[in-house]
Amino acid sequence: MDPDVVTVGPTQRMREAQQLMRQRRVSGMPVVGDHGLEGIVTIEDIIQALDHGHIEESVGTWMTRDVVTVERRVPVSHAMGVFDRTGFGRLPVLDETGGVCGIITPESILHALLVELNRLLAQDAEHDAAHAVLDHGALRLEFQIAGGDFDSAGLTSVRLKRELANRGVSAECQRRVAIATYEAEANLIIHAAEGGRIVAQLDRDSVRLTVEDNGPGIPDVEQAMTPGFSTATELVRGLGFGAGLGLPNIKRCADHFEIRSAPGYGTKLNLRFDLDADGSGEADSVAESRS
Amino acid sequence: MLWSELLEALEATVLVLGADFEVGSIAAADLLSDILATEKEEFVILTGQTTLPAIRTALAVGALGVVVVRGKSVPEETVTIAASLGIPLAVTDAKMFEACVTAGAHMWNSPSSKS
Repeated sequence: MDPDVVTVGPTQRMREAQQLMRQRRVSGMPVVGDHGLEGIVTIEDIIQALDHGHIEESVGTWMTRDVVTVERRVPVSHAMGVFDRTGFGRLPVLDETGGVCGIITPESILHALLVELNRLLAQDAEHDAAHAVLDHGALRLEFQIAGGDFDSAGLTSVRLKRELANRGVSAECQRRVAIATYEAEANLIIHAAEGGRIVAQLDRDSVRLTVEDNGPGIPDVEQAMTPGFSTATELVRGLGFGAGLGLPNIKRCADHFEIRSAPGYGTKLNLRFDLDADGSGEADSVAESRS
Repeated sequence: MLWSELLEALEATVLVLGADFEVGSIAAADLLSDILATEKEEFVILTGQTTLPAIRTALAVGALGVVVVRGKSVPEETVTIAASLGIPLAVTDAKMFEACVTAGAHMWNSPSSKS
C-alpha cells in the first residue's frame, strides 16, 4: 500500500478536492472527518459535480459513504479478491484503530509483486551454483546447503531440474533427479548443523550427484534406510519434513545408490541417474557404515 | 475431472492462475516427505503447507497444481514463487478430509474423468 495517503475533509468543497487530486496526481481520496473515515471521493464524483453544477458544494454531501476498506494486516491476495469482486480502483487501508493508514490500488499491488519477484530472483541467483563446463562437455554444478535453513529447502532441486529441462532431459528423469536432490537437501538442512555440499555432474547419458556433510553421521545405516525410521524433531515434522522416507526415496529414484556414514565422520552419498533408463529397474546399491 | 471443476467443487479461491488441465489423481498430505514419495502421475496436491518448500516440492514431483486446505493464509512470497515456477495455486476453506471426500466424489462422477 501507499502510506502517503492524500485525504480530504467532509466540509471541504468539491472544487478543493478537484484541485488536490490534480496537484497530487491521484484519482480518488478517502474523506476523513473528526470521527475517522467517512467516505471516499473519486474523479468520477468530481466529473459529476462539474456536470451538475455542485462543484462548490461540500465533499461530505457528494462523497460515497458506503466505503469498502481492507485492514492493514490482511494478505494482499485478499485485497486482490476485493478488487476482483467490486471492480473498484482503490481501497483505503485501515490500521488496528480503524484509522486510515494508506491506500491500495491494483497498480500498487502489481508494483509490489514485481519488486518481490525481483528479490526472489536475486535470492535465486545468489543461490546459483558455482559451475564449470568440463573437458568432455559435462557440466559440474556445486551447491552449498546451509544447515537449519528450512526456507531454502528445494532451491537446489529447482535449479537442477531447470538445468535438466534446458538440456532436453525427459520429464521422468527430471522428476527422479529433482526428488532425490530435494530429499538430500532436506537431510543436510535437518541433520547437518553446518550444512553440506551437493555436487552434480551432468553428462550426456547420466547425472551424478555427490552429497556430503560433516554432520553427526548415521550410527546404523540399515536402520536409517527403513521407511518411517526418523530421528527428526517434532519441529522439523511440523515443517513437513522428517517422515523417515528420505533415504529410501533417494534410493528409489536413483539408478545407483551408495551411502557411507559413521558417527563423527559425517555422511556421503554417491548417486547416479541414467538419463536413458526408464527408472523402473532396481537400483544397485552399496551401504557402508563404520563403527 | 478438470482443474477448474475441482476448484469449483472445493469453492476454492484462485491465487495463481493457469491453463485448465485434466486432474488424473490427487496427493493429499501435510508432510512434504509423503508428497515427495508419491509415484502418482498427472496429479494435484492438497496440503496444509503454505511454505516456499511446499511449492518447490510440487515442482520436484511434477504436480500440476496445489490446493491449500483449511483456508490458510498463504504468504505473498509463496504466491509469488508459485507464479514464477508456473504452479497453479488455490486455497479452500475445506478441511483436509472434507476436501478429499469432495474431490473424490467429483472425480469419480465427473464426465471427463478417466476412471
